[in-house]
Amino acid sequence: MIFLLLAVVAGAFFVSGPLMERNWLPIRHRLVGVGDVGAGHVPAAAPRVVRRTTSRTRVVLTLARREGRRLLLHPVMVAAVLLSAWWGWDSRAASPTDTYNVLTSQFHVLVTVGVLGCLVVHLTVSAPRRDDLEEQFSALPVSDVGRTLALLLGCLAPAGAAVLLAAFTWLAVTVFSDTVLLREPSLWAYASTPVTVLGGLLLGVLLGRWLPWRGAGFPALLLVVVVWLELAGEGRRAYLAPVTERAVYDKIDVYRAGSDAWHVAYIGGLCLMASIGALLRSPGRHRDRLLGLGAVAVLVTAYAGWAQLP
Amino acid sequence: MRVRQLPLLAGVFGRTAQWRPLAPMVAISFGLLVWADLRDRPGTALWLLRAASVLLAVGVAYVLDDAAAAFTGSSPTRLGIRRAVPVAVVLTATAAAWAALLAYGAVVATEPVPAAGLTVELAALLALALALAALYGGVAAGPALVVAVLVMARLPERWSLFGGSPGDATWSAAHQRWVLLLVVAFTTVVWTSRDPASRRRVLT
Repeated sequence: MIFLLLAVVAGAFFVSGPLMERNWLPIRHRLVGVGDVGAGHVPAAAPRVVRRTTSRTRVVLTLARREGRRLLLHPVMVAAVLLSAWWGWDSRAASPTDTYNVLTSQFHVLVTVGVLGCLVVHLTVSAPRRDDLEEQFSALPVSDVGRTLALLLGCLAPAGAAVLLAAFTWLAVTVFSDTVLLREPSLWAYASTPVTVLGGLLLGVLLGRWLPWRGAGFPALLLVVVVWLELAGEGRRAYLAPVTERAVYDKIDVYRAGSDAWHVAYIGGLCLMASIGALLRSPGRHRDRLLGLGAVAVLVTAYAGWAQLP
Repeated sequence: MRVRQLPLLAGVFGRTAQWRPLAPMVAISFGLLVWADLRDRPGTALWLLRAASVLLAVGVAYVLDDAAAAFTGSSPTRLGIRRAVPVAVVLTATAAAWAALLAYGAVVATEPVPAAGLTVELAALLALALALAALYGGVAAGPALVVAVLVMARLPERWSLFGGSPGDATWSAAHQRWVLLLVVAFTTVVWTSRDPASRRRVLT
């Protein structure tokens, strides 16, 4: 149900963009975004519509939709999605233990859409700095914070793709396979994949904002992966890693006893921290409030990280 | 262009080349070998050196990302030479780093390190990275190379590039495919580095 709901929301979010561009939506629903102004799409005799551009939220949402499509249609992201689908389809002949791990950790989705997506997001976020366009960007009507917020929201698009890929894998290993699961994964275990992928993408925004140099995403991401691998191997602390194998075959299947719900909360807290870290890069008065929110996010993440342990 | 100009150009390109992406990759490659403690983990040296070769190739992929390409395009030096000099400078440094990595691996690992086979793999990966950079631009080549490596890792056993262990028939067959990949990627780099001015004839 969660997959379906998220897929519908993500679909509606991105289908509405092309509909607006083709003027298929009534005028009261049409938005004029930053990109539209540059493309000469502002209708001359529609002051009511133009007035709406002053609503910062709407502009940010329009920009987020565009950033989302831009991320989703990046050639590396398209390749990552196709690779993930291929990998997921190949997981059909696994043993019950492996199938349980495939369904709960969705390693193939994380490595492709999560890790490669992080690199794609880093490329996209650091593009103005790399191309020496920061000065021109500063003249836009949307502030630095607004643009970062749009990028953070745009990351929902690849996360939506991760939901669809997870659903595809579920279909592949349950409907198109003879493997019988010995234990049904919880709904929270399913939900952890898209949230973790979203975390990878938000990490890309964070890295792109703070380290906007060529190739800087790789070393930072590698550091995260090394920490992840170190944690995932540990017995009790394994749940502190973003993803870990939840079932281990040792003559009989042994299932880890950690809390999947608290794990999702823990990853969500990390996502929030990454978002706040990215927004903190922009100067302004909002930083005090963000620092306060960041402190709360750290506390919540720390509590969820402790509560998820077996 | 005269041959004696090349050393002068090499110095200039050595200062302006994209060292920033490569330097951390070299450091991380060494870090991986040290962190994994090869003495305690037999059999991991091969895979860690393979990971190091991918990292080095990702670092080299940025060498063709030249912010001044639009300006140097009008210079009388051909595109192939303009690309070859920085690539040669960066590849020399990469070769030195790779030799040091292999030497460290050979000294520390408990099993023999297949240096020749791994060097062929590195050469093919470097050629692939440069081919991707020449086709899609230096910045996108790094992530594109990671995608390519993941696809290689998922290939069926018949076409596997990472199969077998040193000395057996599967290893030899896999390395023939690596050589083929090297040739195809190198040809792509040469083909895409033809000077645009010489690609079309002006009919008068």
